Amino acid sequence: MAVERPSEPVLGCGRQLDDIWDNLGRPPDEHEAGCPDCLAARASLGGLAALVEDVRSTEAEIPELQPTERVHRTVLAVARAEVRRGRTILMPHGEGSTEPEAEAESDELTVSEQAIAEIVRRAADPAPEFRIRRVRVTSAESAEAPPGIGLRITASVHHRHAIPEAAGRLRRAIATAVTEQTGLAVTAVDIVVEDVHGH
Amino acid sequence: MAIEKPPVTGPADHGIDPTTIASAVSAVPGVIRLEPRLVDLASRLRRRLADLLADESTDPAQVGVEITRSGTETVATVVIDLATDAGRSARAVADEVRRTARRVMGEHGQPCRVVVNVLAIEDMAPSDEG
Repeated sequence: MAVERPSEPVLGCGRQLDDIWDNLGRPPDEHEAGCPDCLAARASLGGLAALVEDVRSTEAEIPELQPTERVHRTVLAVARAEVRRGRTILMPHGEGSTEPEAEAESDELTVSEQAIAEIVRRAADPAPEFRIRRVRVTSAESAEAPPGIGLRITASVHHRHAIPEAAGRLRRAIATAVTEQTGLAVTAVDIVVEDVHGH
Repeated sequence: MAIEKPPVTGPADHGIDPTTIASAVSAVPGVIRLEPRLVDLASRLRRRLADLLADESTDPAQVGVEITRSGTETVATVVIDLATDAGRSARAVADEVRRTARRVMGEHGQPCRVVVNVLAIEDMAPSDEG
């Protein structure tokens, strides 16, 4: 079943970034405590929250310095970008460049793990069998190996579909989308079916 | 390959305003926006706190580009963070952004190394489509 994607930024584990922000003043819940995506997001947002609190306490007594809605939006945009910054993967350069080779080689193109997770979710979106939950880049190329990544995906599958065949289709769709978008070869797509849904 | 972020060596005396590059790369087809950095916000707060609080600031093109150079190096490092249109190849957009930044730096006679980070892939709003 195609699922509607939330408009807010989503972590690799499927949680929305704004939910992490909302829970920042409390201890991590059971999921957050064991989730590397959520823990990394909490750490990044924690620094920002401390900065905001410091400014707030310093300026709270001065009415004309109270931030506008636009300032709030700017701060949130920074927070979201900081979380996306997390882990990045090198992309190969485009082919057919006429630039001096030495210049192009010194440059870097990278894609964030969050962006790769979004590519995976979009590739799976038309597939009626799966609901993607978490996406993790499990491996990346070494200096000696060709560019490529592995993916580990957890999902729920519709009870009317045979898992092996559906998983094969999903693997191909994901590998094609990731390679088209990033130029990275996908060396493995491990799909963990952790639930079954009926509607 | 998971990589380390390039080292930040502090603002360089390169004489090139990051907003020049920001404006140029924002016009590359497939670029939805440049992604702001905490340092952008802090810097702008320092420079224009009154304007910001008065809601008179923040051109999105003014964030998301960092130019650094250590004191002994001649080559500046340009780091650009952005979100790209899901309808285009992220790599192709990033590569065009890289070429654009290199061209602008070259016009100022500044040797550089360019790092382009695609942080998000999203649908481009209809009003943004060319």
